[in-house]
Amino acid sequence: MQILYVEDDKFDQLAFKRILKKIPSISVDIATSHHEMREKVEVNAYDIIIRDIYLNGEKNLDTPGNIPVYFTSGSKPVLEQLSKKSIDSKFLLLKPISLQDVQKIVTDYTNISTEPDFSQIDEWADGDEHFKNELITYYLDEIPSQIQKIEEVALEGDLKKLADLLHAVLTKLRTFGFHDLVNKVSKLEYDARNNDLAISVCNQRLEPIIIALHQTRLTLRTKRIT
Amino acid sequence: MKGLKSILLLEDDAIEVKKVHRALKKLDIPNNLVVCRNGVEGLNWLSSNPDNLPGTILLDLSMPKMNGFEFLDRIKQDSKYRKIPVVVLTTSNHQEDKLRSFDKQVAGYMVKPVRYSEFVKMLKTIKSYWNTSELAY
Repeated sequence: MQILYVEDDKFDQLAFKRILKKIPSISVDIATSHHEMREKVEVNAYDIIIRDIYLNGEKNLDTPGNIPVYFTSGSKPVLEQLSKKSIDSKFLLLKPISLQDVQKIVTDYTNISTEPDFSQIDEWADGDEHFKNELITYYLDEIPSQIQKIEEVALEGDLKKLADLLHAVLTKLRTFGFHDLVNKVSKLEYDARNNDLAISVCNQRLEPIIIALHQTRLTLRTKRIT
Repeated sequence: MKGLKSILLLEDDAIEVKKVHRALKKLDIPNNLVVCRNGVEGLNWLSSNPDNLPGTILLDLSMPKMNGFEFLDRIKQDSKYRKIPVVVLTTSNHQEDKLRSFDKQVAGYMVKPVRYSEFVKMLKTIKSYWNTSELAY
């Protein structure tokens, strides 16, 4: 997933890059003016643009191409005004952009919910929050290396191995009730194992899954009781 | 614990191991839980503990190095291990895997993630089996 962040304020640029570091499968490019934004869009395939409404003191609502654009501003009244001008409020972000904002954008892009359903774990924990935290910690520790292996095998184009690795991750996803992700991973596992899936198609379907897997870590971190 | 048969768990996922530990503790089952991360480790453990064979084997099917089916083939061909009850714990809900497992005379087949209540029921069944068939193997 490639994001173009259009912002002339250095501090906001750094803050945004810092947030994005938490979701390793997303890359971000920066433009500091409308002109630069247009130039970059012509030569790169961005999935999303996030852009300040005021750049270098000038208001501009340009939306190049068919790329979804999120508008940012430090002023709530400015955003409310835009909302009245029929821009869907989900595309309006009040600065500073938070991790939650980015997570929402990513979920919109992947179309995979990463909200856990703890009913299974709660049954095992039986009110023991320490046990629940331990399971979450195991998840947070183990899932990055599983994601990495999946990415490596996908690059090699070994579908059988990929199916095995996706299968291995399913137990965890089911335990934590990531139902939406379970559906997507199960389907890809099945197709990778049984159908003559082209590598390019497989990787296309894998990309949002990888992003969502990274997102599950962020979601579970916030659920851990300290 | 001396005198009690151990339980051998073949599982490479730490979360699943933790859950089994917890269920045994909550049910006051004092038997030692031996954890191996794949079939090769499991076979090595069995062959190096001939006087302390487990009372039950809990077996994941998808493991690295040697998967659950290969492990099952090996132990069911060996008269020393053949009678140890094996319960399969797997993510696979495929009919084919179930039939293949029961063909190999497994004592039970549970689809992960197993609900706590189902797991407890299975452990209670195993306990009652131990009580009635201590001399069977």
